[in-house]
Amino acid sequence: MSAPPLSTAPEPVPPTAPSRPSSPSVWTVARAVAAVDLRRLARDKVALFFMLFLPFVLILALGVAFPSDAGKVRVGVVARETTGVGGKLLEAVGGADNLDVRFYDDDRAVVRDIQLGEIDAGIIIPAGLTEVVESGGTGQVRLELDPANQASAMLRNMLDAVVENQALVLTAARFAENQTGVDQQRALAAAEEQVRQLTRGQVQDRTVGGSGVPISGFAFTALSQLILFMFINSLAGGSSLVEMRTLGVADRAMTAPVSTAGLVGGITMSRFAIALGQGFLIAVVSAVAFGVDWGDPAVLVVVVTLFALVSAGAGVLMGALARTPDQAVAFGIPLALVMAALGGCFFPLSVAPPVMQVVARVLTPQAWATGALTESVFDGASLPDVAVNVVVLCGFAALYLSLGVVLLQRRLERR
Amino acid sequence: MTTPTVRCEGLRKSYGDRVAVDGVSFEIAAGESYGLLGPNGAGKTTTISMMCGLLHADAGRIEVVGRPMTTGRCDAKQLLGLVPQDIALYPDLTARENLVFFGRLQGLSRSDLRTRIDEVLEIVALEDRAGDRVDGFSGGMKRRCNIAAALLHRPHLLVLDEPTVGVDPQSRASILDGIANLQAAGMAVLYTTHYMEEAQRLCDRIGIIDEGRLVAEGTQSELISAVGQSPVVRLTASGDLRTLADAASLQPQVLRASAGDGRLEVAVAEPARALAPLIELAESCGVAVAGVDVVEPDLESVFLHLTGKALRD
Ligand SMILES: Nc1ncnc2c1ncn2[C@@H]1O[C@H](COP(=O)(O)OP(=O)(O)O)[C@@H](O)[C@H]1O
Ligand SMILES: [Mg+2]
Repeated sequence: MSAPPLSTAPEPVPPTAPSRPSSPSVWTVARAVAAVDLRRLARDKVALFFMLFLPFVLILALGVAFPSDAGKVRVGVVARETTGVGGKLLEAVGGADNLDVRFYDDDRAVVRDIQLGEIDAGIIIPAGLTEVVESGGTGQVRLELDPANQASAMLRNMLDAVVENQALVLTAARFAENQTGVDQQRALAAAEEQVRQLTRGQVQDRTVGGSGVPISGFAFTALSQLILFMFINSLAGGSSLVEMRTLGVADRAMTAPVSTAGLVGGITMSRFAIALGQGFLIAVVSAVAFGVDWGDPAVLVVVVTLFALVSAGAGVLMGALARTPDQAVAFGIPLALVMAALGGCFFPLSVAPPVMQVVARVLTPQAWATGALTESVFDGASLPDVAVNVVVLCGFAALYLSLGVVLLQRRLERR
Repeated sequence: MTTPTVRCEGLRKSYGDRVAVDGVSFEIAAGESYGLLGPNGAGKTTTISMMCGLLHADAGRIEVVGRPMTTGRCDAKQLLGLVPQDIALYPDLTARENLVFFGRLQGLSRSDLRTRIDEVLEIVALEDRAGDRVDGFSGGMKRRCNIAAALLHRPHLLVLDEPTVGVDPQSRASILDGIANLQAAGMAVLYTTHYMEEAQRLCDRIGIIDEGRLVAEGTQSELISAVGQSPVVRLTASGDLRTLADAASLQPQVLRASAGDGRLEVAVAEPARALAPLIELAESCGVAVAGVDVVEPDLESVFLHLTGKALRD
């Protein structure tokens, strides 16, 4: 191929050129950098496969591979109270024809069998439950759950309803006894009948969900993949920041009258937008295609937004630390997988040994994000219920972002 | 006296124990083209990285049209355009997309940018490839696009770091022509190279750099005369060359004479006048002359003289 000659048209003499542009603002620079970053992503077929395709393949595959509503739900029960409320619980559990009940003596055996997949859930009925319920206390029945399992969520709702009903029954009976002087036995029976009338619909409702559609078996898979993919793709995406340096583009940018704040700000902005887009894409698609009910939308929005900041910070940090683009991918993906595993993206953190739970919470933002989403999706938690998670996620975001920004700035300034 | 376009004073940079640039000072006048000539590792890239505000100098100061250059955001940066040694473009973006990006970093407005991009693409003869991705370009086209990105903001001084390394001869010629055109239009140029011919062809003044020091500076003829280099007449011959060399060195026009393997090298002030007597002398010594070459001194020999080593190894 022959190279065409350079044009002979003379260039206007620069020193006399009247309109010298003024230095661009930080915002102009940040926008230009973010625009290029997003445009390059749009052309990166591998990255797009990892962002737009793989998460849904995995959600589908995992959701189908571990069906939660096939056949009976296997429940392990440790019964330390067999009368009163405890008795009622045993009655309810034993009478439910979709449950397969096994009795245990040891709490730890229940947890172990859940981990082994021998049973789907465990119920531990403590001694003295009736007294606690009578005095208005709650939360004494311990439920060991695998949140990935839709049936276990149904089970929880059912047990909640039984305990609640029993509390109502006992309160009503005591009230009747005090007010009318009828004997305790008759008051109890009457109250029980009354409450049954009142709450039958409720029990039914709670086991099938508001819209009459059961909680999707894809729910846990979707929420864990959401957290997993936001983070893993952000770390792998750090490679594009490394490329900026290895391609010499960063140096060339630094010969322009720009501050590092504009360059780093732009990169952080686009990385945040990408992580946010990834998160909401998974949320929306899994809601529409897999029927996942995300619970409180406020929890979803806040957690995904904060986790996008966390992920963007981690991506920028990786972009500053890795020496080559391949390094960012080679370190980023295993690191993200380990953090995801530790943070409860592969199995619920609640079934991990207590020490691991503490380690996970200290080390991984994933633990707090999956925790908040799990509570929202399976327990109907609203934003105030997950306030601690939100605060901790803010802390992780601040930590990662400030480290990433400072280190990348130093790298760009070649200090 | 007018302010020089660039003034560098006492630039110094070390990497650990290794001193990459060791007290380099030079000035480039408006519209002047200055060549920084030196072998690989001499400190050329390090010098211009400091000059363009990419690298913090350990010592020294840099002024561009009187404005101090710093590594941060500063006015001086608007006056320079750097063409880096390696292609600094996004391969997955088109030529135009790359230019839009760098133009916006220079603060060009959208409308200004559009016309400027067309202009610089025309200068580097890439106007019909504006919409193509850079990774589909040939090596020479990438180099030209690399130059275009440095011209967008109409710099006073264009700094080119070995822009023809690894380029085919045709692209090389077109790049050199293009730079000559920019010079002709009044743009000052700083050109680093380890190709002596390019420095000779393009540069008004040349600084010779070796091991981080500027060892000599001046126009080509100043440099050659300063180191006392003279033309050499080289005879390819057979016979008793040693005797001939001794005889030749007694001749009045001859500065030096030395015999080698089938060759006699005679340094003379004026080759045209020394040639006939030399051949006569050879005949009288019984030496058969098979060929005659006249070697004019060049920057290569200046470099060899100054540093005791060849520019390229
Ligand atoms: N980042 C760096 N770290 C360590 N040494 C470096 C670095 N950059 C350049 N050098 C050294 O500084 C010297 C000058 O390099 P450079 O300016 O690139 O030379 P040139 O451009 O003339 O080939 C060389 O010895 C090189 O090895
Ligand atoms: Mg170099």
